[in-house]
Amino acid sequence: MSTSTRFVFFADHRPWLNISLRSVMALFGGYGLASLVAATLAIGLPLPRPDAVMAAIMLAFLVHLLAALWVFGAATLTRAAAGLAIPAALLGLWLWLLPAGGAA
Amino acid sequence: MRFDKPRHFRQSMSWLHTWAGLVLGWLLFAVFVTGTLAFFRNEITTWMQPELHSARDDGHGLERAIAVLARKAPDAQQWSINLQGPRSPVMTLSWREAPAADERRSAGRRGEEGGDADSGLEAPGGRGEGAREGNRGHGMQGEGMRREGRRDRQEGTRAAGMQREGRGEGGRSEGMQREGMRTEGAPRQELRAGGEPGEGDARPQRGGEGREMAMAAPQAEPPQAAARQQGGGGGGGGGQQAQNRLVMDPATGVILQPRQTAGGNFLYRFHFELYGMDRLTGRWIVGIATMFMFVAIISGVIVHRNIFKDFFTFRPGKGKRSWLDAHNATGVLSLPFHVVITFSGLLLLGFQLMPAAVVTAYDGDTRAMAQEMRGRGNANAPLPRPSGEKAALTPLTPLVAEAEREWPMQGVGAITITNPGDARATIEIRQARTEGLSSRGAARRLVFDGVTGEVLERPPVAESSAVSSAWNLMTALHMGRFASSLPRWLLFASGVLGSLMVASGLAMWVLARHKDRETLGRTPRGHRLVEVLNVAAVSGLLIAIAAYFWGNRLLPADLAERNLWEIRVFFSVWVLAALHAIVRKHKAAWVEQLTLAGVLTMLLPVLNGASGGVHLGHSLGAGQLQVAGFDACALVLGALLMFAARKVSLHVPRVKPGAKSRPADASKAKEAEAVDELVAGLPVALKTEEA
Amino acid sequence: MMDFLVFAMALAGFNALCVSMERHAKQVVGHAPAEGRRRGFSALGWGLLALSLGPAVHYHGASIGTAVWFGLMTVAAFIVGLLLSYRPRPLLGLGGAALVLAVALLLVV
Repeated sequence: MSTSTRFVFFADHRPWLNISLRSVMALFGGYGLASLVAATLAIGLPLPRPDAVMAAIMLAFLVHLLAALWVFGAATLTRAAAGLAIPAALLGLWLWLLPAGGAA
Repeated sequence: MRFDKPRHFRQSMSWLHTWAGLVLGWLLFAVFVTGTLAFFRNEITTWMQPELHSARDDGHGLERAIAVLARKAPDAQQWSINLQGPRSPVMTLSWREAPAADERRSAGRRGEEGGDADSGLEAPGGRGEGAREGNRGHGMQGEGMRREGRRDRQEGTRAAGMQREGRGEGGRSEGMQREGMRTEGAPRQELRAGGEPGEGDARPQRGGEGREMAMAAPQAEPPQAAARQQGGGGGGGGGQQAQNRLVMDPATGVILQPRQTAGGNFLYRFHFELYGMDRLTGRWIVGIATMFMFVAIISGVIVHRNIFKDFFTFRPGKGKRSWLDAHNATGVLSLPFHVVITFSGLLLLGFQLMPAAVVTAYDGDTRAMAQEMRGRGNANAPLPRPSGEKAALTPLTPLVAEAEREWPMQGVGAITITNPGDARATIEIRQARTEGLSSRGAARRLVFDGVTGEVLERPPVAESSAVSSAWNLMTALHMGRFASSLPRWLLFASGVLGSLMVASGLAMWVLARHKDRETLGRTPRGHRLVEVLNVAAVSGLLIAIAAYFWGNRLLPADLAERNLWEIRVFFSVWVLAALHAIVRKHKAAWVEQLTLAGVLTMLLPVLNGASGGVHLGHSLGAGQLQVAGFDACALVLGALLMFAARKVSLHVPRVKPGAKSRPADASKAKEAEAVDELVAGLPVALKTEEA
Repeated sequence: MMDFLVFAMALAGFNALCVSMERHAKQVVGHAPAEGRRRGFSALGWGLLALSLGPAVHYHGASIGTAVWFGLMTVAAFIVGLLLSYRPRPLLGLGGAALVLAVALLLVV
């Protein structure tokens, strides 16, 4: 068990630390995930470019909302973090595979 | 409820709702209230310029306007007339002199030098109609003038743009134009027009606006504008009248000299970029608060399980339970409004808040996106250059009548006459409002031959795609861009409910912890902080707004920097109210401040009649609905505030502080527990630690 | 005119919904109506609310019409809620009057 995982389990049982970590995850993690959604969809959606950008921004705000709800709703910190990290990793992969500059 | 223990999802959401709502709730209340008032910012501005109240419409204003323009600006390249209408009693006349070629170029270059600090702030699809809507405001400087400058120039610059670039619609079609972009040439004018020396902090954004301008069209700045910049810099009372812009009473043709005022525009701008700070910073702060609001609303819906069952439930006189009912009712009744207004608020700031999309799609170049979006618009044929031959202008009235027939719902908003008095004169008539929300900004136009009066073209309005329609729908709703006034009143009503929702939520945080304080025997510092902030942010703000209107009438009409003094009155009164909230006991502070706010607001119609405005009895009879509506609203809202003050003063907590809690029957106690849990959603750990 | 129609329909609709709920029905008529009647009121209420979208969209166009529809429903529900809290008795009469007015307006326009 790595120190970081051990820290997460430790933090799960500290009310203040738990809340602080969740807040940080909701604010910054949520925003990061939303930005990733915006960045990926802006070039990944099969729409004309300005439309893709607008759709991406609209969806990004919804994603931030859902991320915040998820982070505070998840049973444990690990689950909260995984809920952000897994979609982020998938989006990152998609973004990486997309042609740079977005020909779409 | 604590996060380190097993708990229900709904409990977590309750906690989230409480704290997401509280942390920026005070700011959100201010944003809600000023934003709600901003739905009527033109009417507020009219009210704040009593010089305009007596203006009438006798149906012959157009001839008078043409006569005035022919006298004041016989050689102008373009005349613009903004008609009086349901939102303004006066006509606004402006004109544009033909610019010299070399000045044109250098101005364009200067425009491009601006930084891009502000680019991409607002929605694509811009404020085409927004600024137009605003061009009814008059004589504002400083905060107000910033927009004014844009507006009054807009008509002129638009057509000039077409002429030079043959691309037309520079400012207003469905494209990406934001207000700054739309107003080619205007930004620099407004740089100085405000005449506010202490505004250096805002420089970066203004540079940004320069850039926006460049995005739209590197455009000329006529000598007139430069002259106005310097003229306006003096900040004199009549500065806004300088040179190429006049406000006329349609029934008499008299040029009115309205006082300088920050007007409804101050409230409007405050609601999304605050004041006294960098505009970008202000927008970030409001944007973050909006995201908190969004989270609070949605988590609130999740928490509130019986959303339809409790639809009408309001049990008055039951303390905390009543507050929870009120909070639920105001939240649920206008839930669609709350969701849309919050989400669209995010979208309006979307390009600033979520830059990642533009970064990947356009390498962060908002300008490129603007151009691509504009590319969809229909390019206009360049307007004809003047022929040099003199020819009499055709009478406008029949043309306007024809346009009115064509758009019975939307009406005629503005008339632009290019090359007046020339054989190649053209007259363009624009709708006052657009037809739907999804194509916002894309108002229809009719172009007439200025000599024969024949219709030259009816430019089609470009269709917007599904995505931009959705975007426009949201943002146009947010900005209340409607043909008729009913939807605006409905938005206003929903905004009032929303403000009540935020205020009741804030009050509930304190009420819900009443028992904690009771068992503790004193008020913890955190609770006291929330109490003070609640009073200062809710009733203090209402007093400050009322004082702002009082300041508008009590400050000498010819005071230099009058608009700034109005704003100073607003903030100083707010600070005083905050101090009062600190000094006084919680309940006393509420009662006194609500009473004061109520009295100040209720007396506004009296003040209006006594300080040069048209009083309610007269304005109602004469059909001056802008002024009458303001006064009537002040009466009603003031009365409600007095009522609230009385209710609070009569309120006796069920259990006096310090006394032992009365024995209540078990079921009631149980219910109270449940309410506490729902209302507070607060981890026990936090409660005890605070204690 | 159309706006009045929408508003009357919404008012009548919320009244019916209100009576269809057991607790509120007791406030208005003093006793809870039978299950079947309550269900009828519920259907009537939802039906009126849904139908009122029609004239709103017809008159204002889809986008603004929907906004007006929501706005008028908010105001109507607010009035019903307020009456219910302070003066529940006249509510049924008001609902009936609104319904009659709605039908009358519908026949006129």
